[in-house]
Amino acid sequence: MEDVRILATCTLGLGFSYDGFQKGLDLAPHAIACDAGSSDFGPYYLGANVLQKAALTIKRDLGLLLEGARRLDIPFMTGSVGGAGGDFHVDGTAQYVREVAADKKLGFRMAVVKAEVPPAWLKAKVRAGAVRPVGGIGELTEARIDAMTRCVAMMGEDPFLRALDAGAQVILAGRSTDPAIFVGPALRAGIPADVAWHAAKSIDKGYLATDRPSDGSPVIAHIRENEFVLEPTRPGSRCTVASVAALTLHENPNPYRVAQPTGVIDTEQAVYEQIDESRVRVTGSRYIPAPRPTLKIEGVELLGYRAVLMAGVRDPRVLERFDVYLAAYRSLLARAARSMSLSEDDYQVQFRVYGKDAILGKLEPNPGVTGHEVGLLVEVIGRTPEICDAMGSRLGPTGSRLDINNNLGGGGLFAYPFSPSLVKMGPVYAWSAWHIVDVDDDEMAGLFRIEMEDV
Amino acid sequence: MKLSDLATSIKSANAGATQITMDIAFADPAAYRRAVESGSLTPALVAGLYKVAEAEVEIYAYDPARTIKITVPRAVLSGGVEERDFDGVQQYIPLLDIEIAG
Repeated sequence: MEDVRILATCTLGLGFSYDGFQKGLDLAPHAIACDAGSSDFGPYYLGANVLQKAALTIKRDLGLLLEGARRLDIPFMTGSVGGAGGDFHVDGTAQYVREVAADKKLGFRMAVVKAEVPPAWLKAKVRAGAVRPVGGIGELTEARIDAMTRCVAMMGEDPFLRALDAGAQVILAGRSTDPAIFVGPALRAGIPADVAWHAAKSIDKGYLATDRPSDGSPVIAHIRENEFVLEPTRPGSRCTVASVAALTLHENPNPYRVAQPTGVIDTEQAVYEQIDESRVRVTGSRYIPAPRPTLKIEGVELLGYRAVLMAGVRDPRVLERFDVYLAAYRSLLARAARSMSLSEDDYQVQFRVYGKDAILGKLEPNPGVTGHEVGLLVEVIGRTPEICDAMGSRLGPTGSRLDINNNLGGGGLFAYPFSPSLVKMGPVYAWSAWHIVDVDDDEMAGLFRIEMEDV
Repeated sequence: MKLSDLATSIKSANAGATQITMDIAFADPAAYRRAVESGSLTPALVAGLYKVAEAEVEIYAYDPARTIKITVPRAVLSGGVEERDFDGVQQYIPLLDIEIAG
């Protein structure tokens, strides 16, 4: 069996080595792929329908990737586009692809795959008892689904395989598991799932497989029946046993298991060998098929509207009693809220004290103020934009004039770096679905709809 | 010896929105074996540092990358109202001063 070669860059829009990419094309890959997003950026981008990366940086990468793929007449595949992988993110990225194609005079058949799931489908799954939480998010209920702004399911290999079968030369997919974006060509060529999936997992963060990710080297996986070999394509870059073995550690709770919709990538028996200065061979990988497919869903709900204020406080007489100060500040803000006929459900106030415990909170082993100044970040989340504005306008004057030692003489406590001191941040979203859903194989085509387009 | 003196690198990150995972890597095989075999890194100790239940702490010795991985639940779902570090990148700090026996 001839090997299958997949060329991988890193997340779309993060950039990659131009020379390394051109050298990668010289190795005659059968496909080019990269991921384009993650839930790591938090719930905002899915909730607010905002593309996570700037047009300029996405289009730079797209230009090189599309040109390379068309030059060799091989597929280019990407998923979780726009950061969050919702329908808005897919449509926005598809528009970038069209603009880049027009600019570079490229033509191709593109498959656009959506990943948002309908609330009615999700409710039926809840009623059927087919939904389980991942970690401490609690059970999904029909009420939570009603309150949800948007929900995506992470697609596995199925839509990518269908798109390749349909002759797609470019695949632009919504929310996807990272390995699923890369695994299709090897599976279609008859490579065993054991090897194909671990190889896909090993290149799904591109240059993270090398020992110096800052060099931005793409990597190519040579995937064979019983093994795969990873090779960096930028001259001077190296894949090492440590850099390749570390890939299953990345943002994964268990280094030996990477869950996918149709099974689990199991690396317990994997053997990593350095075959020369820059290449690593991997054998012994396994893919354990799931008894039935599952999909991980990610949904968000609107919490309210946020404004923040950053102030510096330097007065040592206040800092030595800062907990007393914050308690008094909080109660004054509550009084201000009552005076505007706001209830406790209408708003939330949070303090983060940089120089005290802002980063670790209750886990901070050293929670006192030990320095000579603190940065006080005050946040208000209002149920409506009007409540946010009203409470936001009280944050500064209330805190700055609060004189717990009766020695300010009517002066102020808050040193502001900026005018305006209050920054309105707009809508705030939180994850409200982070669950696993049991599905049937024949549901995939309906959930992950493929639209073919001649660009 | 403190864990931060024995390890080559210590980092943390989200493992999804509901968990934080810490990777403690050792360049020196002897240092890695010492940390793994010391018995100092226990679920009970980690549970105390992170204020979570002992049964929720996962600890793995991952030989291929000479890395000890520790995964704990997040106190707040990533990006939630009381968030302080939504990527979870500074949440390894409580591990630094753990005394490794041997």
